Amino acid sequence: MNLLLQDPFAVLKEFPERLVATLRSPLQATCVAYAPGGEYLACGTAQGAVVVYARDTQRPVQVLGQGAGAGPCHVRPVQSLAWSRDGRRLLSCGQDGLLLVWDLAAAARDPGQGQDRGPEAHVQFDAPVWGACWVEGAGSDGSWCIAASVYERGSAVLLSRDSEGTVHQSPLDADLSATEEDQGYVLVCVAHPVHRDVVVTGSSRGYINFFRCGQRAGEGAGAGADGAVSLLHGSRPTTSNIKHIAIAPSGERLAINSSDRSIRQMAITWENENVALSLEHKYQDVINRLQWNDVQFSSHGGDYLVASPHGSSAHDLYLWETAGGSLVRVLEGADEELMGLDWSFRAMTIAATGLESGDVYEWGLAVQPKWSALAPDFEEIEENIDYREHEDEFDVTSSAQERRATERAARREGEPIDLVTTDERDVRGNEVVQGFVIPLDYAACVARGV
Amino acid sequence: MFTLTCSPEVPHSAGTTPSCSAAKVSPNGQFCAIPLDTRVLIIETQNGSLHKTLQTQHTSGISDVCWSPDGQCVATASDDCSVGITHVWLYGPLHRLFGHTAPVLSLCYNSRGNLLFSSSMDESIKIWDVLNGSLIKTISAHSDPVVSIDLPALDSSVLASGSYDGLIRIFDSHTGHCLKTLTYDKDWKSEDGVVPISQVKFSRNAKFLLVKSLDGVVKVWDCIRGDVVRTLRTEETAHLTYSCGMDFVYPESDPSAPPLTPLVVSGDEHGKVFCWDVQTKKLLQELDTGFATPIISIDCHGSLMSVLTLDGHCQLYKWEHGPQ
Repeated sequence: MNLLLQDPFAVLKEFPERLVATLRSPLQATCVAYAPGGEYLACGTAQGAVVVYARDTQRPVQVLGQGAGAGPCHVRPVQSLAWSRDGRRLLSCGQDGLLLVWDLAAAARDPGQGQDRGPEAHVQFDAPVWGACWVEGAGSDGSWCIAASVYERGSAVLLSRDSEGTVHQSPLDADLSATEEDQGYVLVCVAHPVHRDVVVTGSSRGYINFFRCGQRAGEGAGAGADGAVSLLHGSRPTTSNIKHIAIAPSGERLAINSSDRSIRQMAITWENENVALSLEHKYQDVINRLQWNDVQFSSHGGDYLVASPHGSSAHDLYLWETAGGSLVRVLEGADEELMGLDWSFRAMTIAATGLESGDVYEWGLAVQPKWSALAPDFEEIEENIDYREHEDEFDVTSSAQERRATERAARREGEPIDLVTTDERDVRGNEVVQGFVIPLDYAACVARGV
Repeated sequence: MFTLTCSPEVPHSAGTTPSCSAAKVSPNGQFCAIPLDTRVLIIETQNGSLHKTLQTQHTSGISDVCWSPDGQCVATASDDCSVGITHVWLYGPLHRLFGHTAPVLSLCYNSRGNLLFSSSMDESIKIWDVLNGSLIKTISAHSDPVVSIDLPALDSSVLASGSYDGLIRIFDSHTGHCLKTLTYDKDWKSEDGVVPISQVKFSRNAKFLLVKSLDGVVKVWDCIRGDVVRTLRTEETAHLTYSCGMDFVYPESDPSAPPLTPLVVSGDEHGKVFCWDVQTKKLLQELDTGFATPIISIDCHGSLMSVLTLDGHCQLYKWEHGPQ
């Protein structure tokens, strides 16, 4: 709504342009993730805690995993974070092999418990967890499904929680080992943004696989479809480690960050149950031969791609336009190497964590105040205008003109008005959803006052 | 038709008339908060009985009260230039926010409940962090007391303010920049000068703004285009001293039936509440509270309407959609 009233040229930018905020905290952030609505930013820290910031106050609203003796919490750095689609649950993976699911509504359920709440569910692996994604968000009965990639495992792990709260583990593979050669370890797993039950995995030997899990996968397999997985696509776009996979929100574009110092941008074509990938562009820093720390697409079809370069000399984010593959912007302002990053489409901001300090840098749009809004009869002009009085400028306005104005006003009074219906999309074309509101921890602010 | 459901008793010591300022219905519609001196009465809307009395830390009277969106806290604006936040159910007083240099007049939370907006006689609007009680921003863009502010319940990105300087402004609630000023010369420069604005209220979808001015006229403005789309007035022209309250009513209907058209209610200084159909501008009801004193506050929640008179008579009404 505020965007509708602002200068359209200032608001309708395709990507953030300047550093607008730096979040400093004694806890060093290692990864960041925006809530689906863009109003919260979750930071995983090197100390193991997960801090959720409110973007409007730039202050933490919840610190997860810091209480003593309140269930398991990370004791090593947090490796990755993922919000559930409704914004109510947060998934954190640690280098200590813990995968935790936090229910952010818990504060409202047991007031007075304060920060000593434990996670809603936890899974302990014997090795670090690289990353995880939501396959199926929590239903009303509290069941959900998560895919995770664990250190030195040949397949991703599918975790599903039933309505009783028991978590079942099963490997995410569909007879791969029988037919194909050794694909190496699974390093990445991401959920497809449109086909929500599809998980894309990337392996240490450069293989990429599309799996459909859940009910539709089991249709062919007959009864007992629970846990059934079908392979939609498998290919080997590179021969080295796949470190990251980013998929554009429209689901038609995919970027693979691999340790051969290049980012491959591929188009995804989807025909029934057949998925095909075709290489569109390859991004490399040909001079410095840098690796890339993280990569992320912009909104909708992924018209832009942002990446953080590796190396102590690189302090910027690189932003490419994906249609032509040209570098359009270097986001400057941080004075250290940047690691994990995330792009919020609704807030039009990019957040990245600094390697040394653990600060979180945020790039956004700086919309200039519109001074003419304070006085509607004033006009902002670019440069001085030579004033020349018009012949009729100070004439008493004709009655015809006045009549037209009153007629117009009267017509407006008769037009039907809609006070209730809200827009489905904001001015940037993002869907407007009422995101989950994290309950405020009043107990903590009482404790602080004492 | 609005029908009276109950008249909760506002207790006061014998021989004195209480001076009341606001009656606000909680987000779940179960309670109604009425400030009385430095206390806040929490009244059950079901039967009008007093549920709880909250003692605030204010040293003088409270002029506005506002429920947090989660229904846990009430914020109070006081003549002692401070804002209080009190947890209703468990913790009692949480914060007292100092910073205004004149009595605080109006309050509003954002939709997530983590920011509180206050406006004051000192002509400024301040934004507070609810969790730690710090001042985030001050917006100074009026030249007279800012008597009313409002944020849409669904979209907290904008803030509307109405002031005695006759201006209605819309701000970006994050940056504090003024986005629009809803006034046009013809309208606010009447013969005897500027018409002070007394109350503003966003429609549910934030696209329209209901504005009451001290000449007793209620207007619906289109916030985007910046023009008046409805003018609702009673027959006699008034020069009000008190704001007299107004609100949108979104009557609850059967989920199967087509939704009922929203209504506008507005009070006057002789104990009457007028109720219009906002589409047709037809006056549907002229409701007499039975007290010939100014209506000081009207607040609606679904079909429920709470009406408070200046001398402390509270009445709760329910809208029932009868055949016209």
